[in-house]
Amino acid sequence: MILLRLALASVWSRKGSALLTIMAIAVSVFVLMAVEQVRLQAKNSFGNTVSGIDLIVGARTGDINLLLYSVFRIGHATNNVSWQSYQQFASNPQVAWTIPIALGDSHKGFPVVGTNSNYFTHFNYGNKKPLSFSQGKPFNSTYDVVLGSEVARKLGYSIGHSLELAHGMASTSFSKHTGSPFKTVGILSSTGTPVDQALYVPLAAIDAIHAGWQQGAATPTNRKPEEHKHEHEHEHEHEHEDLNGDVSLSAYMVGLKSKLATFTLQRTINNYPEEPLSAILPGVTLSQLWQLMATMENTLRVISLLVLLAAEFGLAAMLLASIRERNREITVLRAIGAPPWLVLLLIQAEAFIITTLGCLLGLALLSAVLAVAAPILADHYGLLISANLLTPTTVILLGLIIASVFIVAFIPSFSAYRQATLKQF
Amino acid sequence: MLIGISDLIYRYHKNSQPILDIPTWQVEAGERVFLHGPSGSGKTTLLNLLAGILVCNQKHNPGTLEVLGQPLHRLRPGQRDRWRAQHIGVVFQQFNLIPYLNALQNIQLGAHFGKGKDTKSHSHELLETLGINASLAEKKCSQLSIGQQQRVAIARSLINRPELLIVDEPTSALDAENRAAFMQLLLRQVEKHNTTLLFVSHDLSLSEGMTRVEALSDFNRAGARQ
Repeated sequence: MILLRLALASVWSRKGSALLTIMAIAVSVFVLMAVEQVRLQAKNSFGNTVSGIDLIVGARTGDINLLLYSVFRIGHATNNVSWQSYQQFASNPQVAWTIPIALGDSHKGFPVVGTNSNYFTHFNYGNKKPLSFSQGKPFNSTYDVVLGSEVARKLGYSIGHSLELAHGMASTSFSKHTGSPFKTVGILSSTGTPVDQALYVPLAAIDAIHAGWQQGAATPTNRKPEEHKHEHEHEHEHEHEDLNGDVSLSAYMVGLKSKLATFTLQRTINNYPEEPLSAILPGVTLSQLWQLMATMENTLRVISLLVLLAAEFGLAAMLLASIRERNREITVLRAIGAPPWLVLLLIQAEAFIITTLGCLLGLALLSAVLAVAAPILADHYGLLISANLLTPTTVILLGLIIASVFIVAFIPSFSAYRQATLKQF
Repeated sequence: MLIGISDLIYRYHKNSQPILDIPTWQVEAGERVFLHGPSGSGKTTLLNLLAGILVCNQKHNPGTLEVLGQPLHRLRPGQRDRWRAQHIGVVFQQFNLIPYLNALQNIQLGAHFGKGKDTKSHSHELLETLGINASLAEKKCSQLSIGQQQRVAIARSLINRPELLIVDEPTSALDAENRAAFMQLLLRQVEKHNTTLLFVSHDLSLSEGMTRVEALSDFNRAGARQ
């Protein structure tokens, strides 16, 4: 098409300023797309952390706090759930299964989760994806430990590796559960969720290593580890039934036989007279949590849109300046029979070419940066970024960018149109 | 009759003095008219009217102006642009070409608007007779000398085989040698294509080879009053 060829030649003849404008557009597209991408991926990662669980129960606290410590392992439980009330709700006829969660210990900064084998069979992430083992199997006896994929990868542990747990969360904890060596029996497959960042031991182990501890510190009469290791080894078949009443849970997750019972049970738990408890629906609370981030998310979006607008005005200014020097060109075009609207379209086509090149450059830049940054983000934040930039949202965004340039470019193109209509030889 | 003007009055603003007031003026097909007059006498206004860039709207600027028997004010703006592309060739003083296109592309652009047929062979033929060889034709016009540019401009103006060629001070940017060469080429082309030529200049020495030499003030009463 003659118009596009003309516009291409014209842009090419102004390589210098065109290139700078293309770069300005590219940078703004990069920022806009990066924000969008990170937002989308973070939201996905976030929403993917837990699924298939109907209720999460903990001591009475804020919904978001309960979700944060039970699923994301951020922050602490203010209080624990007693073994008795757990037992009572676990045996509720509506309840299909429960996953107990006992937190508070760590290994080299990674949280240790005391739980039972239900964790590996019933805890789902993503779109109802169950956990799977990349190596080994679930824990079987008290001093077995299962590692999250990131824990295994970062610490370089493999099956059979022995490790000790520390009391509290600091990576250099002063109170170590020394002399309680755990043996690695399984490593979970990567999920891209906080599951990867934790170690899993049987509840019995939490019970055992804290035996003889009072008020958060080891008492001098701490039993020899070898002894209770023995004790528990033949008890592992029926882990939690055999736990003494001391074990209290940070939280537990509940799967119901029928979803219909969710709200009834939630109300029952929330109104439980014996103990102040909170029960949350993970999906609902996840979206509440995400709402909290909406302000920041919107701020980022607004900023990136303003950056884009600045680049578009830069484009308009560059074209407008070019119109001044194209006075004669417009006369020539008119003389050889070009109608004024063609002059308008020529400028629009130039804006379109510059924008398209800018968008392509910006996307290329973003793919390159993502390719480099994806492993780092996954490493440090457990944020899985897919390199696929052409999602429906980004396509719509690109369309909007081109549409908005069409509007902004009316400033120079209409100026050219007016010149063309008024132009004489 | 190629150009027919009668009782034409043209003013730029409705309350200003007319710049053109032409009771009657005609040009026959095949004529080569040399039109001279001082600057500001309305020469350029007349050319703009003849090319359909300006129109006499009948309210403030009454009269008839027909080119090729076509009253230009009767055409809609878009039709006028197409009509101009097909029937009128224009060569200016300078800057006749789109600087970022090469000679051949400039000519093809002209052909595009004129919707001319067999323009490809015609453009090569024109360039050849005007002494623009293939390597020059591939060069960006901004890299050509002014003499070369003016020759390309003739080729461009003739690509659609227009009936009327309007040439406005085409040699003022050329040196004496180039000027003579340019005039020779121009007249040869006009003769060959049997194109009517309207040559506007204040340099009477260029009137050689024309069939008619006229001062605008001879038939423009507005000019005479100034």
